[in-house]
Amino acid sequence: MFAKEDRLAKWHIGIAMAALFIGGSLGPLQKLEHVGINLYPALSNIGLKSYYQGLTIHAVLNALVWTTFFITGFFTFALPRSLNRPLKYPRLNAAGLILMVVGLVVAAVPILLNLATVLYTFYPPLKAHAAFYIGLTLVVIGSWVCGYGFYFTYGDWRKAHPGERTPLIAFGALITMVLWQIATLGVAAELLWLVIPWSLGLVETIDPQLSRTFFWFFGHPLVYFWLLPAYVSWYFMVPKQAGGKLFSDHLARLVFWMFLVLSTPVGFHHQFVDPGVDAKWKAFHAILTYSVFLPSMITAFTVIASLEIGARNRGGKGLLGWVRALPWDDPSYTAQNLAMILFAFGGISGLTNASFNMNMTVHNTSWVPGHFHLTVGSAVTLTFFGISYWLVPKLAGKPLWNRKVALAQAWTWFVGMLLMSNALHILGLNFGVPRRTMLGVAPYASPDWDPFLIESAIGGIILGISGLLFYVNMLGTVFSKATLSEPIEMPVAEPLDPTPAPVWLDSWRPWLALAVVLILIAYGPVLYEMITNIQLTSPGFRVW
Amino acid sequence: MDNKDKYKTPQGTIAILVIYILLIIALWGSAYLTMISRGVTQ
Repeated sequence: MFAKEDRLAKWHIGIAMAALFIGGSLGPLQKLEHVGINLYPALSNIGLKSYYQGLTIHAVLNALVWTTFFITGFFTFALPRSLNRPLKYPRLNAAGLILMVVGLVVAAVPILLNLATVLYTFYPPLKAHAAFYIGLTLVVIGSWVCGYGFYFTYGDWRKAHPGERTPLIAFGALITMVLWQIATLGVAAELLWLVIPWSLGLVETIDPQLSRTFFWFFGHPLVYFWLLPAYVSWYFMVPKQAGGKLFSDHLARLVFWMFLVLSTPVGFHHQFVDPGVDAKWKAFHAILTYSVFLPSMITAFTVIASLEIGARNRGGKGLLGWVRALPWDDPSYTAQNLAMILFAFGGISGLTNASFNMNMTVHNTSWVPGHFHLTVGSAVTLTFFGISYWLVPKLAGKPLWNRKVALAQAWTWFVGMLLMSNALHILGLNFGVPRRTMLGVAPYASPDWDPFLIESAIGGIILGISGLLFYVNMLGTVFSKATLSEPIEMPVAEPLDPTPAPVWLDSWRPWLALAVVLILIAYGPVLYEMITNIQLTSPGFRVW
Repeated sequence: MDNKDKYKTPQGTIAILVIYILLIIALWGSAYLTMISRGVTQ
């Protein structure tokens, strides 16, 4: 029934994993450079010209390609099964995939040729080759097309099931894709209106402030585009793997709607230091950023309560003793639970980022990569590893090659990330160590940094080893000659209370309207002012 | 409250969240004190 979907999902996830392999391999090199071991010259004969080119490859492939391709692949697999119907237009989804792949290749060529060493935020006036921006645009458009394929499929399901509540996995996937559609309007405006014409030489100059504002319209909800698929798994799949049930269907739905509404109009907390944005709008965005804490805490409660149900079903006792009864021998479960723990720390450093005066202290320091390696590098990536431990065997029709190696992978990622992110946070907060910087040759480097740079490097090396364990297991699974003794089913958690959610928790219009109104209030006046007073003053710079 | 109700009330979850809230206060407060001690708000 789902052969076409599975074929598409295999391509999405295969490309995602290939991207992460290349991007992830460059991570430990940065950490080693920071402690004075510069391996980049040795890699120049394979085309790696500099630390900053490596950093661009690392960030673009990990943060943009690995995530986007994995998410679209995961949903291509999970959404049709959740709705119990195949994709309505599989060729549309295939077209989306092809667009994404073409875009990836078009963007990758200038990066690999050192023509687009602008890091993943590609802030103007840094100017890359036009192909880099055009390629990224095609990747985004391709992901939109995949989303349209999901919407058409859902539309058919809705016609056939009037009055029924949307199945939870499909519900979460659809909100994620709609959030993505809204968020990417910002980067689409930046690229299509400002950056691509400028990079093609059609206009001489650009407005860096407006470009950054469009970027962060996209950049923060991008984080929720990464996170919500992990939430789909934590809410609607992991409780089943833990032997339990979803504690509250209603709270889960409310949380996904809240993220749709609140994730976009918060971008100015990334621009607290930007002089061109009035303080009152920064304050408004800061308040909205703090409001995201509410669905985050509801998530913590609902997911942990779901796990507690599972653990007690498995014989767990005591106020906290039940934790030991969770299925720690299951690598898929363990990876995701460890991802949740790391995310709890990421949430705390996120609260610091949102606090204006604290942000002034940690902005552009290594605190920031310390934070986002706990979110996208742990909550998201380690969860995707956990999903892969059942999804790849399912797609390959083979058992997981080695469960013990998978468990070792999850724990080494956890330990490596704790070490690395702890060191990065301390370096940023206590010493103001800059991010995005080749610290090994920085003349202002202090000996006081050394213990933490070493800790960070040890963490990075452990993460590199952990990544290798993951790929050994994935390749071992795909190329194994073993066959499944019993079929693998997608884990689907039933709600503890089967009472259908109220209609308002399954209605798109009010939530979409609220999201649009809040975006118009939070961004409308500022964008109007910036656009009517556009400052096309800056030429492009190539500093590498 | 009988055993069945105790089972339905996620007491362990509430305990974990209380610990988490205390951790947030401690770590955020620690970061705030570090900031103050550096004397940097630019």
